[in-house]
Amino acid sequence: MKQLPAIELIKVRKKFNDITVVSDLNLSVKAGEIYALIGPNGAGKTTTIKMVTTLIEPSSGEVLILGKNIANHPEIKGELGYIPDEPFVYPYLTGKEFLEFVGDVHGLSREESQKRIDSLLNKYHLTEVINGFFSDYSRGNKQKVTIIAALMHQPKVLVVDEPIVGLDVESQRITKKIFREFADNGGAVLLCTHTLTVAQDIADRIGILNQGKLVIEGKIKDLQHLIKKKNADLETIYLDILE
Amino acid sequence: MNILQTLSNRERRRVANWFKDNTATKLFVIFGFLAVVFGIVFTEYRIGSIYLRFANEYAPFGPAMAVYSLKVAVFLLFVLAVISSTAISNSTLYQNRTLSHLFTLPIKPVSIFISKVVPGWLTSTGVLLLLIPLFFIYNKYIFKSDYFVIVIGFGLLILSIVSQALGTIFSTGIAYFLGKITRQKQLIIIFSLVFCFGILLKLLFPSGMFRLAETDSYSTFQSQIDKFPLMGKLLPTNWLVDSLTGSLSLISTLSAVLVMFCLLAIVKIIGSKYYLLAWRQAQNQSYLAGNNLEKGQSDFDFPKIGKVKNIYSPLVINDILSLVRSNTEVNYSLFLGSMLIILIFSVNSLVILKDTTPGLLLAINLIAFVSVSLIFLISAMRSIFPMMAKEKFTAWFSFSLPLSREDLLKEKLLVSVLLGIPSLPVVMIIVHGLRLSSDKALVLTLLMTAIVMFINILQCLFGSISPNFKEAENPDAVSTSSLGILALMLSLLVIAISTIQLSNYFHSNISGLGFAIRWISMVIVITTPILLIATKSVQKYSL
Repeated sequence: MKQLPAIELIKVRKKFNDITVVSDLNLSVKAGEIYALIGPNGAGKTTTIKMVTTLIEPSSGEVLILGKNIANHPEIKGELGYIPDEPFVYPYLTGKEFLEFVGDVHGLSREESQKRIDSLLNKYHLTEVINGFFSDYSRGNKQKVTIIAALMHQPKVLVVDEPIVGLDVESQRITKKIFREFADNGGAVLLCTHTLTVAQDIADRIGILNQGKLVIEGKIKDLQHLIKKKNADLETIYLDILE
Repeated sequence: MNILQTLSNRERRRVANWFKDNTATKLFVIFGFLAVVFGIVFTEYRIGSIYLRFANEYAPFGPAMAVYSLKVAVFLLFVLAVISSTAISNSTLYQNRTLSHLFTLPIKPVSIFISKVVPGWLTSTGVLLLLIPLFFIYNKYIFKSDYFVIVIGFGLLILSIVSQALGTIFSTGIAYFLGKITRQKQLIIIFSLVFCFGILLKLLFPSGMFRLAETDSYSTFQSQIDKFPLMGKLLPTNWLVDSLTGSLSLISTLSAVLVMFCLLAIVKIIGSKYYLLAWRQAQNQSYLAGNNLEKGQSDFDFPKIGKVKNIYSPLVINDILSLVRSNTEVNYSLFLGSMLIILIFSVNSLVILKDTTPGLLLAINLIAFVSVSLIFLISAMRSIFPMMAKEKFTAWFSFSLPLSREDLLKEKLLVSVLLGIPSLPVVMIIVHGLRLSSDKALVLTLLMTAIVMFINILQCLFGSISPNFKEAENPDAVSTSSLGILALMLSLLVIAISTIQLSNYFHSNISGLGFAIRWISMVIVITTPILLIATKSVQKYSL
């Protein structure tokens, strides 16, 4: 039996008044796959991500998560983890309280939450600061907490907007490893980024979005083949295609 | 644990944690707020007692008038409760950053909606509780109801739920139908508010009211009062007053309960079906990358650097643009602007009575002066006090310019003075409405304008002594720091001293020149040390 894509966008379009930000976008991410969406500023990457997470309603088209239209099946959000581009801030909650809150929302017991929080905190060496107010954290630490929050309930789909901005080198490596392990365990990752090395390092497939349209997608080898440069890195491919 | 419990736990923790930071200042602000509330309740009780005792002596006219006054009070506070719950719900939909996180979680929008409705309901209940002293006095002096406590408790509960429900319906409707608020929409809203205020004035002061004093017969008097719009039997707010003034009716009580349940049903539908849609509409275009200036927002061109003769100009323009292009700041200004319009209407309405009530004109003059000063003080606390703290975001740029830190302070002072200029036409309109002699009008105009400028300068200097860079994103939090409170107290003291001096001038106890010398001396005495401290402090910023 054919496996349903974990994330599927079918002819998704978004218009803000007269401006079409995303135009008839078809895109799918399979379970076990990391799909990186890259493109210039204003290409519609964040809008796409926000449509997948229901923060923006598509003007037309459908967003399916695990085969269900997320607009009609909000319960499917329980299988979704979202890491926003701006690390979310509840100024007067500590990082630990925020993570416990996320665990409670997902119906985890306190013991289970604590176990998962501890395990993820240890990976990022965050244990020292986790009892401080979220507003006092550096950008990188805020980002780490939102990553932990998105993974705590062990979702099947991870949607990530700019995953490594503000992270130190070691944390970047850890984050990439976490995403890879997540996909290897059957999860699907849709990430958009300007950091092409991240896309090159961990993505199974890459899509280039420009002016709201998916210009091209495929494995890095397919893209190299397309521009007829066998060992070209993603930056060269990206610039070549956009030119 | 169910989801509502989880959400309320998070809110409880957030509030508890908020107290842990700068606890002393926050307690001070809360006690100050409670003192103001106590002062309002006490004044209401004292004035209400005098009025209702006086009314009771002139039966049957007095008690009839007292019932009408109660109906007016309930109606007014009900309107205020609806406005405050609309404002709170709207600020949640338009500004609350937590919603963009909560909507990505597997929580039903109706649960998020319920958790956000509670603060508005508490506020509208707080507003309506101000009715208790009035009903208590009425019960004491005019008509003792056997069901006083039950009716008051039950009635206020229904009114608070209904006002919150209406506020929620209005605010969700605004977000759903208007979406993101553009400049044009802001203008429409402000004109609608002014129009509604005009209708409110018509309802409160119907033309027949001024003819009541000429009526000798009680039946004519009562029939005239019965014709007033706020005496309508169907007006929902009158049910509470009628129940307390002797005509408790089972049918009207059941109708009130029915209305409440109908509204709650509508609110439930809004919460489950339209809340997320309304929020999305309110946020529409917020995620658009690139140049997203709407028409009318970009008409304030930044000057070409080559043409600028001194380095202050771009900084001044930048500071002003950061205010006039911010929707939050513009909304706040529109709110204060509508208060000024209400003040202008009120002054013009009250001045008509100056010939019938001796001494009233002086009181109106002083009230107008204090009101203008307070409105501009609120504005300065919001937009001028946090100006230096907001430099946190652009410190990498502004502190690396070939400018000394004193220069940066001078630039902020210049902006403070410039922001005071729009007060001049407002002041001129208000003073014109007071119909004073030309010399008094001139003195009042100059004083009002000068005090606005002075308050702006004071707020700027205090805001520069030890800016709360940590809260730079949140201007309200910056203004409620210890120094913000101190600046507020000093500004209030300046307003109080100026009011006393103005009263002396109007009583001809001092000449115009004497008044000017005293006032300018006060300004110099207060400003000099604060200026010196601020100049020293800017050197010590570590960003």
